[in-house]
Amino acid sequence: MCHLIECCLGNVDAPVRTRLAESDHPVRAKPCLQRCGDCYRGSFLVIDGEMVRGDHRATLDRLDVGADRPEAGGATDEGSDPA
Amino acid sequence: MNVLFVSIDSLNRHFLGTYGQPIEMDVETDNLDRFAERAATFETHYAGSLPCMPTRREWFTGTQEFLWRPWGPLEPFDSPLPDLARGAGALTKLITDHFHYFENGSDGYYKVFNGFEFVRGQEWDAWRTAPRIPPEPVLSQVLGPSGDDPDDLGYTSRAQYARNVASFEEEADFFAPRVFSRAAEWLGENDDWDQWFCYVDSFDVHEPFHVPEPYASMYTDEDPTDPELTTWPFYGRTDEGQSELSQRQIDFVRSQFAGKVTMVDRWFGRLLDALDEGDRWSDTVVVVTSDHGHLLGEHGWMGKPLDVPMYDVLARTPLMIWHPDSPRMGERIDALTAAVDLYATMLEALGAEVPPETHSRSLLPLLRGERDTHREWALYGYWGSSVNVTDGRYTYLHPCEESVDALCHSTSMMNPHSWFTPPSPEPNAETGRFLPYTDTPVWRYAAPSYSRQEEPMLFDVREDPTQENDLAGEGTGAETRLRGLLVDAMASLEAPAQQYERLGLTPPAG
Repeated sequence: MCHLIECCLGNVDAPVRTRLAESDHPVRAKPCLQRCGDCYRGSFLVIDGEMVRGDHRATLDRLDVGADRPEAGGATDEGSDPA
Repeated sequence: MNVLFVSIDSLNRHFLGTYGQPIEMDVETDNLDRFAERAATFETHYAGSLPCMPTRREWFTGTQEFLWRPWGPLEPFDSPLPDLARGAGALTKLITDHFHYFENGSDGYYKVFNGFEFVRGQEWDAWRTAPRIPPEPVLSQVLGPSGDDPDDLGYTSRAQYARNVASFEEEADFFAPRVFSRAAEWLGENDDWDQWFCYVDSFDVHEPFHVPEPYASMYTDEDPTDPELTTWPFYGRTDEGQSELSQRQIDFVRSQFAGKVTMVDRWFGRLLDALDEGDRWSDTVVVVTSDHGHLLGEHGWMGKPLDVPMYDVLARTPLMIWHPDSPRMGERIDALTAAVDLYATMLEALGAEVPPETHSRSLLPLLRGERDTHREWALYGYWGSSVNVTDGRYTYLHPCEESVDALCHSTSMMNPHSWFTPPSPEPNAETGRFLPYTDTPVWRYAAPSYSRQEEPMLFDVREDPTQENDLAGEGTGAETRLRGLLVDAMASLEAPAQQYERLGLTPPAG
């Protein structure tokens, strides 16, 4: 399943950015997604229009193994600090 | 002479009757049109540094800041207009509902007035903490389709707005009604002062586009309380991602924006009435403008996202000025003018000194009929992104190289990108006298550039005012000329040498 992944440039570190660039999913790396509070607090991605908080790698692992649409807003704030 | 300065945030020029209203809606703007008939209306006025607070720093200090720094506070070396006005003997007053003055990312602006009044509650104003779960349908409509967590305790939580307005019962509770009615009262209370400068800064029409009846139903057949219809769309492309909207949703957003324009217009009329009632027109200059526009589906975009080309919807703003001694009242003025010019204009009208190092050029010679032209170029953009120029006929949008960082210059360590959160330290900052308009040392540190388009764009906005036909790369002489004008403008402002590298431009010789 193909997912549209949106991220804030300031919220992803270089390895994650590289992984996103190599992903088969369409990726939109943007200067701002109007999620400043989440960006300040931890890691997040917007997948198919819905906020997914939590560690980027874990989120991408879930997508890359072909999991169903991620549970929006249900992740915990256990992610690494924003890059 | 008194000066009444009115800014109406996000007031799209193309929604106003006086500018021809080239949209498929008949939006009621009777009072703004009434004022335009009395005043001089500027046809070719452009923003400079965007968005909200960068524009205000241009108005307050006459500095085209976006070549040096992003959204941020007043600087110690600034010469704020209200401070200079006070020195010239004018009482100064700010009446506003603009939360950005008071939140992370900006400071100082309201502190230079003799008095300020802040109408609480706009956007994510850190005000009400109850009810914990705000009432519907406002909550769902501001959270939008993604239905974010209403319990969110982070900065910029949209649920905060729904909490702030939970007790609103009637139109008079809303923001534009309170700001403009208070401003009208203020005029009546302060006739005893010899001279004054009053700044009425209305955050409306800015999103969220939440309006009471009759405005909510004025331009739509939808049920405006339908929780599936958002009043606070995310910025971005309307065809994908979190900003994706159906045509039905776009139409609804446009209708609520239009309703908010009409609500603002009606209450702005109270201010005009107050000027009538006190016979105040004879000793008051009145300036009405906006900081920027707001895309509502034009070009496939919503809002003012950081990755959209700087179309005229965002950058070409309304400006109307009443001056009791001007022979040009009631006329349309075609000359190219810029937001930064309001600084010198209002200072001169107040009889205050205009600092020589300013980027601002007074519009009073135009208004006195002493000349018909004003400036050769207007430069506009966001810090760290594209740099754009117009000569009034063409707009030239020049991209940046994302591989070259932008440099932030300030006496404070402001966040280059996340403006609304507490500032982060910049351990790699250096200090020095880097600014051409002050001897004050500042911090300088790098942050990523972001591009709005990969290639230059050129539009003939006289023939193509909606900018549908990109003329770049077609070998027109205009592209070469506008590119040269961009370099000339940057040289005139003594832009940092690094800007040329970031923009892939050759600096002028010498």
